[in-house]
Amino acid sequence: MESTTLLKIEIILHWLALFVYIGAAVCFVQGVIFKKEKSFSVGTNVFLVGLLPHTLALLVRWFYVYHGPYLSKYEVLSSNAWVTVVMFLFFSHRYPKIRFSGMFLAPFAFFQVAAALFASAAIKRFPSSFKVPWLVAHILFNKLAVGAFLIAIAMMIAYALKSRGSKMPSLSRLPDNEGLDEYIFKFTAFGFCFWTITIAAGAIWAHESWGRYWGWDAVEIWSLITWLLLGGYLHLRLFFGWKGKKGMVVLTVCYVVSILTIFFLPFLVNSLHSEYFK
Amino acid sequence: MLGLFLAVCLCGVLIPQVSNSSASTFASWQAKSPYSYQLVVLLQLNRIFTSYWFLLLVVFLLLAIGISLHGQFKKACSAFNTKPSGKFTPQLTLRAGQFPADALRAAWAKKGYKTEEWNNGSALLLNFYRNRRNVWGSFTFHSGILVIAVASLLTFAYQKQGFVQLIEGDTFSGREAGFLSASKGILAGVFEPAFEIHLNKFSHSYWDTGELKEVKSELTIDRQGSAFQASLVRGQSLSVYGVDIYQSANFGYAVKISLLTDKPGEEAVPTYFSLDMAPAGKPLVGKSDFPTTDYLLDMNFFPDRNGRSLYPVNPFLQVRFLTGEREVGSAVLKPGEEVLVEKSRFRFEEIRPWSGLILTENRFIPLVYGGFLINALGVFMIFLFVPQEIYISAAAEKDGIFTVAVAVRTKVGRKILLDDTIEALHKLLDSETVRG
Repeated sequence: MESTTLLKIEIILHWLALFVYIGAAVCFVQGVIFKKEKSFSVGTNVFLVGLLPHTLALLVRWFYVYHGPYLSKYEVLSSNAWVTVVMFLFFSHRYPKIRFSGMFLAPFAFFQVAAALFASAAIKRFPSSFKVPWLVAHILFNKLAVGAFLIAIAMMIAYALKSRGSKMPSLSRLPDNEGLDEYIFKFTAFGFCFWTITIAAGAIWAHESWGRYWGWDAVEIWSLITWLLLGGYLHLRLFFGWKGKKGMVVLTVCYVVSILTIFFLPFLVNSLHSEYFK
Repeated sequence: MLGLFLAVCLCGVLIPQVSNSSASTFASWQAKSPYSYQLVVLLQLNRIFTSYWFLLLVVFLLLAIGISLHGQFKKACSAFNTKPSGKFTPQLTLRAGQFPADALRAAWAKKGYKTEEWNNGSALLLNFYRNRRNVWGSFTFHSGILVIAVASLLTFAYQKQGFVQLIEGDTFSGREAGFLSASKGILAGVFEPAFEIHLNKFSHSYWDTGELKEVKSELTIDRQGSAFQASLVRGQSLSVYGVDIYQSANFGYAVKISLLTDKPGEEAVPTYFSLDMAPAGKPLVGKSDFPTTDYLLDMNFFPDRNGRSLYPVNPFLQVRFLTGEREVGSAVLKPGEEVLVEKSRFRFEEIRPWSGLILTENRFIPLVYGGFLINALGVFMIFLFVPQEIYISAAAEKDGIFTVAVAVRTKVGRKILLDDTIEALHKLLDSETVRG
């Protein structure tokens, strides 16, 4: 089959996934408005249904561009959304209490797919000899970290609404603020673990590829800043007991910087990394 | 210390740095605001990450981590050797109609917990635990940072790196003078790899999108007469006698121009001008003096007259001869053609590709990798293999009811663990919560 035909199929699949994710978000919102608990489990299942065309779309693209989905804004955003949804489904199966955070996570997923669809789907390629295991590790762990951070952010929104005394009935089914605070901490720590591997694997790959493991490149520095900030929060939380609102303020700063680093900076600054995001 | 390091990193991205900004950025800054520019240069804020004060900060960071590690080591040793006493403060009490200890043991064993128990006749205490001996996470994590920082300082002091521009068919002598550019650590000695590199063949290929697919140099490495051949591609290094060789993304074509002479017995003076590769349809450009003459050559080399190919299928050279600012001659030449400039005759002889090779010598890379490994191991030990302990004690009352006291101990997710424990107990014991 020709690559133009495959591109059309892939875009249709992406649009399908987008609409299904919007459907999932509608289910979650319906659960909130009409106080229907069933809507939340329907929303989770709809998410699962949306994952099917999304997975197919990414596989089709992988098949005809000969590399994983990480080389353009289109691929990066779509695969980030995919990992986020997979991680949400996995963790909501393991910890059913966090299932309700899907109402905040669904918009993240469909906004990313939508942004991907409005970006150029043109194929980008890079030297085939770059495809080494360290690059795969660098990208894979980065996506896992992004997924964990987005789940934590979704729960932070729930935490903020709960602490402001929101009357949303669905929020009452979430763990209490202390429990939510611990889930947020857990997902942040989880993301931090993978962010650490991302930096380490990236440094090793850089050394294997062009002879330097750290070049103080803008994206490198920002990812180090993110790591230091998150490390600072985890220290404060573990060793100084900064729980609750005090910890949340620090974490908000951490996530604002993380979002900038992950979603905006590679597209804005001149960096070795940004070549692959444009 | 962490905050200070963070602030420095922020300065590094907010203030233009020599390593990632063009010279014109600094020139226009100097013209606009000479005083602020002078201050920045004086404080080395335009090259923060190689400044002496940044190195000093890293040394202080190392000391702080070292001191912290000392404390963490003592704490971890004491925690490692502490044996559970069976004492705990109940965090929640339940009343249950039954206490099937075996079912409880089986339920937590299924979750990967080990069991320890005490029985004092009137009460049974079950202690479920996992990762209890994992008290070294923080020590391991910070040790990793220490190793990385030490390795980085050693790299900064001793690393040697050089860039070689090698025309197909030519040889790099292995002498420091043969590098086009070199950067060395402050304590590094002369960088002279003990081998010669001969470029046998150089090739570059492209994807259908026009992006670079592969750059390949076929080399002969010769060390005192013992030679072997090797291929070098971008992204995959070659390790030779302690030196790593990388294929650079810089490559192009070298045009050979000779100054011809009519005097019998005198040979032509050939010179190669190495020009950087340009996208399809655009010329490779270069400006250079012609040795032994006063001429400055301003060259535009087109590999393909039709602008379609990046290979020299239909090449020509557009050249202007300048003395100072004045143009004294110009020509469009195909290989083999000549041009007369004033009284000198020049011939465009041939085109050969050139390849950029990066040579580095850094003995501390294994230390850096080791640091990354230790650091990653530590972070997983802290957050993914968290020590968890669950205490459940049951005392039988006179009316056949059991009073069950529960407590959990963990640094990460105490509330979640307690909630999960209570939920599991309610299912197993058919109990009700008395007080939380």
